[in-house]
Amino acid sequence: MIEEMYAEDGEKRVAYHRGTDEFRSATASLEDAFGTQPHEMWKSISTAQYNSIYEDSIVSVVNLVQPAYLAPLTPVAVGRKFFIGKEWVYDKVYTLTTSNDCTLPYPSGAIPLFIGELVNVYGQAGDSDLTAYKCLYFKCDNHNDVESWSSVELGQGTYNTFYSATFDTTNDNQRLRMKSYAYDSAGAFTDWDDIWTSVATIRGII
Amino acid sequence: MIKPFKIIATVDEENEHVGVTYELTKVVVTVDGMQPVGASGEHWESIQTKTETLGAYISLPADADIEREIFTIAKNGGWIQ
Repeated sequence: MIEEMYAEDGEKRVAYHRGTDEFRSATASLEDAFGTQPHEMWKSISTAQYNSIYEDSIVSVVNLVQPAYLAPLTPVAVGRKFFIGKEWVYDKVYTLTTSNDCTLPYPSGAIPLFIGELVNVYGQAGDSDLTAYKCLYFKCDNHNDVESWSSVELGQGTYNTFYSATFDTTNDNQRLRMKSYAYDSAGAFTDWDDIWTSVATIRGII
Repeated sequence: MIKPFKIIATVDEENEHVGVTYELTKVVVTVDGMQPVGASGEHWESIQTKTETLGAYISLPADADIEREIFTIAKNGGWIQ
């Protein structure tokens, strides 16, 4: 297990790293439902978690390698979302944001890092345009400040905790869903701020 | 909508056909030397990637759904990731 994610509307989600029995088992189950997947390109796969925005349980994959067709969006990372009930498949694109250009709200003292949105890919099931729903991923050193701002009790890790809020950008950035990502020891996913700094430096932003 | 293929150009052919020049791209992943690190299932591995691109031309009936046809070719050829 490499990540625990807590959301206000669902049970805890757990992600497993490639190469583990849990990864292989979850991938096999997913392929039973969705057909063969390019899992050699995946870094992790999660347990299913209910999402009240889409009213469905979703399995989340984070890519090890980005597919070429997403390169024009200049993502920092990409993933894939499998909507279990609706049988939809969407790619998720995570792009860099900064305090200067982020227009989504976040708690005082927090630092915006990435914005995530779901994109339709031709040939994948699911034709709804979901790009209005944007997730802001941020860090905040004060867990209580995030809980106060969101009025949501969130899990936290002993090593690191990061946060995300999903907004409806067509409705005055109404906040729809709050999440925390908890890590109890250092690992592949645990230092989002270091990834941000690395990418921002390469791109000449800082 | 993002398309996992690129249609470069189309040209009207004779006999009610259309010629399509298209491009397909995929990332090929090679993993070597998996080695467990820690108890969480993470591991070190040497990952190498290379991008392969295929450019091609196909003649289709003028009333064909060009995108659907190119997608089908790409999918059957293992170019959809």
